[in-house]
Amino acid sequence: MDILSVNNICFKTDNKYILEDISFSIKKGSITALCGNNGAGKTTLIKVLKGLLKVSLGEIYINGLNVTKKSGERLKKIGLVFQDPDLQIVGETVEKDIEFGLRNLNLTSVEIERKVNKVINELKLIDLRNRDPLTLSGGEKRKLILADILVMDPDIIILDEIFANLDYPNVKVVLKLIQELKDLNQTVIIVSHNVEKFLFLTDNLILLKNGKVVYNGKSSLSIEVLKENEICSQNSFFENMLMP
Amino acid sequence: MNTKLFHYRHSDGLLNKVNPVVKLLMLIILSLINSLLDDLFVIVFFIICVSAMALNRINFLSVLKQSVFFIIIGVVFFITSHSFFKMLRYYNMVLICIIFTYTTSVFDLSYSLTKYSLLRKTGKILSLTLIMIPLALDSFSQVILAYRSRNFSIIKHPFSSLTFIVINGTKKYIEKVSSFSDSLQSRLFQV
Ligand SMILES: Nc1ncnc2c1ncn2[C@@H]1O[C@H](COP(=O)(O)OP(=O)(O)OP(=O)(O)O)[C@@H](O)[C@H]1O
Ligand SMILES: [Mg+2]
Repeated sequence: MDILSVNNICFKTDNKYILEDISFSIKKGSITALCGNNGAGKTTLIKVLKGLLKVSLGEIYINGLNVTKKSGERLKKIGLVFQDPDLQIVGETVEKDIEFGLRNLNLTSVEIERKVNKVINELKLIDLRNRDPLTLSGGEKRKLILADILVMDPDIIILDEIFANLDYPNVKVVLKLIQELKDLNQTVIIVSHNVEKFLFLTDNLILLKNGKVVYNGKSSLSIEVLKENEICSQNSFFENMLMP
Repeated sequence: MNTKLFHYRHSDGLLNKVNPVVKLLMLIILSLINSLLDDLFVIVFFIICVSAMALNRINFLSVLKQSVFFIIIGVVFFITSHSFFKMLRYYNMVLICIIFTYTTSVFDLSYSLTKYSLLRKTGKILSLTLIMIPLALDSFSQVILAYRSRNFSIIKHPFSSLTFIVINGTKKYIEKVSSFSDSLQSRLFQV
């Protein structure tokens, strides 16, 4: 069954449409790339999905349930990792930062500890557990904000420009993390204007242009469209990365 | 271990394990005692503070190094009031605060406060404030750095630079707060 389906969504500010008639659906356990050039409307779309912005028109379903009017429900079910880790970390230690969201759910301390330990093990954060987040490296910070979201048990995880400002070793760390999420059967949407680094990991691709969907299908068949729309250069040679 | 003043660090020390609200009450009571005590006992109090630091493995030398500012103020106290004990009372107070902040996570404190329905809002607002302060410091230092890196002398143009820094720093701060509030909301934080 589709874990997320979006029907004819529009988002308007003042009198300009930023998103127009967007429809797509996403299967449980799949990894989707949401791409488009600067200003295409990617961030706006995910904020609308998450419930941080109001939908002007259209419907959103999660697990078959209509949640268009229930933005609180969407806040819980969709985990969103923002681009800048420094604007998301609040705790004084890595462990306390992971606890933050759970405490807002008013869980018991036993339950909180169990969930935190689980995520710390899954993401192999044990050595960093008691560190001050401000002293972490860029890649470690990404890992932490991913843990912050993962611990809340969302149905869908959205990563906005997660590769921005990362060097090659850290890109590899994040790619490995996404692969691990896939192995855990998590549903992930990776948002970026630069898909070459991670396209091989994804099952499907949605391409936005001027607030509209121009491609929605298998990643392996998307290369020509990506080249046509100048998401990647004409002589990109990452086709071979798509081979299994 | 390296100690940053007024900054929580994880450790297995005894004081770390005490309930934060109890510690807050202790802080208030101890500071009252410190100001009411007889002069001679102030010395005993000082020794107790230092031993409490040792017990919690807080590096006294490292604290001393970072407290130059407070030490100077203490000396000024001494010079102006001619009272050794006034200065010592002041140092005791600083030490209590250092021990408290070093062993107490302010987030733990604010969450413990939210457990008492009367203090719920206070606790939430306390944690929100604590999140926002570093953001403000960061915004303004970024703006100042941007000016200095373009050879703009703040000393030569104190007035115009102050206006620029305040306006642009505030702009930057508002920008940061708005993305931060998105991320707080997405982690279900509500005041
Ligand atoms: N509140 C707003 N008011 C007016 N226009 C807006 C608003 N928010 C976004 N826009 C416009 O909507 C368009 C889409 O913005 P959005 O941030 O979603 O793009 P994006 O695809 O995330 O781009 P980038 O890759 O640069 O992050 C842009 O042209 C932007 O200027
Ligand atoms: Mg964006």
